[in-house]
Amino acid sequence: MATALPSQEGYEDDYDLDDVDDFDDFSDTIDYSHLNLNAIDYNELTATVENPHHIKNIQLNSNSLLTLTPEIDKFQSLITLELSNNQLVQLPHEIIYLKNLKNLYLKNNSLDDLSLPKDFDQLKQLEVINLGGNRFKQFPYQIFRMVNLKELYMGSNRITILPDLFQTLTKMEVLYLGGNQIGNIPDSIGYMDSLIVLNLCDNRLRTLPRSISRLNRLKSLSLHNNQFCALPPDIIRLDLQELSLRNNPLVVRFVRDLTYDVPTLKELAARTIKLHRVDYDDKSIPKCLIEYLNSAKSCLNPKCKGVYFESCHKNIKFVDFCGKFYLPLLQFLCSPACTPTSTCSMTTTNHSDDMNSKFKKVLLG
Amino acid sequence: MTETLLNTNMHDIHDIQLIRQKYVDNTAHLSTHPKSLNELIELLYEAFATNDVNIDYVHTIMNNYKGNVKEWAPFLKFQPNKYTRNLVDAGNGKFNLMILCWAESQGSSIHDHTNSHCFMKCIQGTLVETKYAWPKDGGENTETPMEIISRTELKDGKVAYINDSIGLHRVENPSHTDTAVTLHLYVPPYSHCSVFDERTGRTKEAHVTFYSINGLLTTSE
Repeated sequence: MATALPSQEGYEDDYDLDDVDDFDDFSDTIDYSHLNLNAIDYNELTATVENPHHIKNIQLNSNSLLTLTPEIDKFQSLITLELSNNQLVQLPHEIIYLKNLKNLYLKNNSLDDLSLPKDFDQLKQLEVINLGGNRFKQFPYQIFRMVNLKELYMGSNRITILPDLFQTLTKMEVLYLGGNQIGNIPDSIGYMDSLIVLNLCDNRLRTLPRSISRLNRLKSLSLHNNQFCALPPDIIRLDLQELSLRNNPLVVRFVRDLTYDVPTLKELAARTIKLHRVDYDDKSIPKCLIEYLNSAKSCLNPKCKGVYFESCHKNIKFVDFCGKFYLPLLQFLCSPACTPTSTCSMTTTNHSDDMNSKFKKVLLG
Repeated sequence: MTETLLNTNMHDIHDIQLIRQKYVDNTAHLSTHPKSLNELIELLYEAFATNDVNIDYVHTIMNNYKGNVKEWAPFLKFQPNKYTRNLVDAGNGKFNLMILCWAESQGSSIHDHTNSHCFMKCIQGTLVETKYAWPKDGGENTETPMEIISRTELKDGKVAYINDSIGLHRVENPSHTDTAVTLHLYVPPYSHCSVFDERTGRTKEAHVTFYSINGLLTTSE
């Protein structure tokens, strides 16, 4: 969170004064925040400073800065650079020379996909970066090479697609992606082994990858304001303390869309082979069929030994999670006949009766 | 408010004064514009000195109190996973004054107020309060989505008031980039409330706790 010296304005900026103890001696801080500055150059910054090499913290937030001086790299001891709430369109390339920079706050500016220097990942020791409230349409690819990052805030941008490269960010503890237009979470997110807080609220998500169950340090998961109809069952393996699900269609809309794709002949044959444990090898059938047969997935109904390939029946089962949450989980079953109370799909005259009976059965199921 | 004097014995002025005193506003002598957090607390203690509490006066001083970030500093504690409740003053058990810190996108569950008055003043950022009607009692197994009564935005010192007869509410910080802070006054204080599932109206008891008391973290965190 931003650290800032208190100012006269009561209601504007945010302050987390927990971190103020980081700076015992205020002479290592330059504070020109909240001054309506359009620009500030190196000489103005160091006007009252004895030795720029002692400066660890520069606060320039809440001005009208369009640029940052390229001489910023002269502050070689800089640990924290607070540039939030300005009008920055670009960062000077020289920023990559700040070898000690750990915290970079850039929220609420006008940065876009071309604003970060190409070799931004040279800031190898960066731990916290806040890019919230900017104009990124793409996830900045340089981030994936910054393996020491602990906290990344990208809230309120215009990101639609996430690259499947998150497995490199093994030290990341907080990932904030709320308020974008993301339609899908890639599998690699499940490999961020240090993740404690994952914020995906206010996006366009319908599902989560199964790998999410690998995140055994995850304590807080924000999914509100999305398009979730149900969640992957593995989610109950997580030891969550906070889970937000409000404003998702959850069960209601999903029930209406519940369909069962009739399996292909190929699938029916494969199911039979698996169920009856018919032997096969690469001498009897083509290799591609062996691969197909090996891709069988088990029906989640514990009483059923069946398997499925592409065609499965989606069932919602409500699970009471840790006594705190009541979650609709998505089960993949081999056929509608597999559910304890199977959902009917036709031959009722009254449309809403049909809906109600489906709904009731799903809830009880 | 008019009073009928039954005994018009002219030399019993003392009795008359005693009767009149019952109808006099016991907060009339107090300031309505607290200039600091400490003054707000002092005025609250005065207003709660007797068992007759003038709720309109309480609403007025909560509204007029402006304050500044220096005063709130010991109570501004943000957490990445959940909003925090930080007790400012325990009001001799008659009221609880606390500061709640909402990081980006954090929100509360839908909850009631266990028969207490609740004043909520937004002192930083913006909050959205969604009010819900009490679920209709349709019996054990009915599940009906809860009905929204209103949705209002709270900022710049605005005070919202709610109690159980008005309904239930959810409070959230809608911003993905800015934090929000609220000053809450509960009369009387409560340690348990009910939380509600928006989708079904089902309810559960919840125990409310403090993240910090007088600026010090509570050990349960």
